[in-house]
Amino acid sequence: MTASTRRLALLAAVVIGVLAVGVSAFASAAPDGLEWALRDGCSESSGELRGTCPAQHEREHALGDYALGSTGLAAGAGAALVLLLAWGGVALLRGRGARE
Amino acid sequence: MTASVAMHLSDGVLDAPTSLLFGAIAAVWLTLAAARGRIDIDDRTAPLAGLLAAFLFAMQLLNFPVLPGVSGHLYGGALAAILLGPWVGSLCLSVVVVIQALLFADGGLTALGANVTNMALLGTAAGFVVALAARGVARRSRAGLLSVAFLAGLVSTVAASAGFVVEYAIGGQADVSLGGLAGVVIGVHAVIGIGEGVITALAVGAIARVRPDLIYLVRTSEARQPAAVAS
Repeated sequence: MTASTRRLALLAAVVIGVLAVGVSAFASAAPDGLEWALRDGCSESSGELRGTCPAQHEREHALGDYALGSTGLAAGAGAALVLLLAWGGVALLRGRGARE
Repeated sequence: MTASVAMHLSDGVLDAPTSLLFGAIAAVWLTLAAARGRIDIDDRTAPLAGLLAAFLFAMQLLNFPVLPGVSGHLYGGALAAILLGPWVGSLCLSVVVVIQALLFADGGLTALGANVTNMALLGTAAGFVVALAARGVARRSRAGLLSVAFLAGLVSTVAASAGFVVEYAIGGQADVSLGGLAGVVIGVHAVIGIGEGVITALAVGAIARVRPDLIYLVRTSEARQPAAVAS
């Protein structure tokens, strides 16, 4: 990696860290577009969806409470993990391609 | 901060055969992307793929309001395709979606194939096709590059949401009007797509200013003169 690429990578990593750990706390808590659309046709009453809509069939995630959640630190750890996996995975693909 | 993310489908919305079908489609696509993506990989690709995956993971947590009571966020299919090409871009986005599902309960495990198909396959491919069709415009000027990135971001979001509608038509669990569902899903994602397009254009514009050689779309094929888009 050249010095210029290294500087850029470092700057990008800092920006990503700030986004994941800090700024994400200020994100909108409103339902996202898909979740909102899947509730179309239902109304919510005391935590239950009444009417007919796709969201009524949503099941709890299999991981349940074991999921890492979405706190700032968990988000930072997730960002670091995907960085390593994508970087390593692509580097591995390149290495394998070079050998063939 | 919300834990739910646009276009990340939960378990149970699609029936089991449909979930399996799209799991198989996603697996075939990722195998193809891994095989074809090798030719696009050079010294810069692996670090850029890692940083982009981390950036997309972080940005997918940043929901912005789009309508009263509705939010959206960058998902990054067009951005990944413009920076890394369709194959590596697709792999990069898949890493994000898989980690979200496996470790963050974000997107169902049985819906993983559908989520990868919508975002990593359809969205990335649609964004790249638009960007490729307008590559001449993107190379001509900075304004051209930003316009193409915006359009690719918008189209990729709509394409990914249309993918869900097709999946729901095949194996949706609720007895709802498909036309009505399509209108609501695609309509709201067209609005979210404007935000996707703006952020895609800003990100591509920022990279074009400092390292235009990192942008796959404008550096490949005959005209290897990316400096033109930096001015």
